[in-house]
Amino acid sequence: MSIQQTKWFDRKFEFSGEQNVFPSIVERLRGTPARLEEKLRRVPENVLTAKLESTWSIKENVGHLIDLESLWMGRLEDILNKEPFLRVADLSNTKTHEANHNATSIEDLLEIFRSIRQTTVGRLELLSEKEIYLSALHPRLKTPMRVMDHFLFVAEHDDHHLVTITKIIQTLS
Amino acid sequence: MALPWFERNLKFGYSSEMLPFFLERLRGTIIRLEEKIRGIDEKILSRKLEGKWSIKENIGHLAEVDEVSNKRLTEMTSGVAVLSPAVFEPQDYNQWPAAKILDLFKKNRLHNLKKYKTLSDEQLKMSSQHQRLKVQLTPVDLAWFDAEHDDHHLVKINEILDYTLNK
Repeated sequence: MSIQQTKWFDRKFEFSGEQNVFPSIVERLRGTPARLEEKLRRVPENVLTAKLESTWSIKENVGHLIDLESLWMGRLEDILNKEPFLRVADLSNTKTHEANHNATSIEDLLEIFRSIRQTTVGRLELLSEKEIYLSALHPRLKTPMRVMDHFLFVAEHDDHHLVTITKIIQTLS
Repeated sequence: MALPWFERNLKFGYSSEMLPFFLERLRGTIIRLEEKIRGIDEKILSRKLEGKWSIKENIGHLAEVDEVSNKRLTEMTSGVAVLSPAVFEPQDYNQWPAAKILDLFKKNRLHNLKKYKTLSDEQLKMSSQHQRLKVQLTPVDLAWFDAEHDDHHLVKINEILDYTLNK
């Protein structure tokens, strides 16, 4: 198998499903900390901080997931507050580039991610079925995103970075 | 409450470039299950609420589904027109220690992941008809289908744990 993963900004999303699959999406989001921890438990420091062809290191990928959680939650509030558009993301990822995540221990990064993700999941579990179907326009994709779609997008984004991390580990092993 | 699996509207036709994401999800289910039941009493894991599957039965079912998927992967890549139906031979999983059921699931899942990696680009585009859904499935579609099915049962397990531990 020589398949390459699709780049994140090349991904096409279709948000047309009417069925309430939100519980499965929340479950996926809940599972990401364990998946990251299991993947990184025995990875040596030089692999965790290596930047392949100047791309983000494993620690920077984890740090990026931490950096974006406030955006995801902010967008949830945008939808619940009936804003027409979701807030804009910083597509150049300044926060991650400037955070120097390589200087933080992987244990700390994973603990922070687990903690903020737990808060996110706790908030999502309190949403009503009506709120799950509320929407606002995505600023880049220009498509309406319901709460359910938005968090499916987040789950896919988690997977994107998990695959990227796997690829780094495989390349350096 | 999770939508019943047989009522899910499922769309297929995924490109091969999506396979790495689906395999990552399939791999992740092992640790997600382990984390979910870690430290939970065997009696709770064997408990059937309102006659429904226990947590152990949910995990055992996932292990059986992987055996079916393994067979279906072979059928798809051999040019079989219609996939075999999902026929299961359920064990009395409630009598098994949870660790043994997880081991079975892990063994089957890792076997399937290994098999996916041996498939050529051409084989990933081959398809057969799913008997119940009446749609053409490629190995890539099957990987997505199984990842969604995993999530469905993780939700069921979570519902049982929530009810049992927080009532």
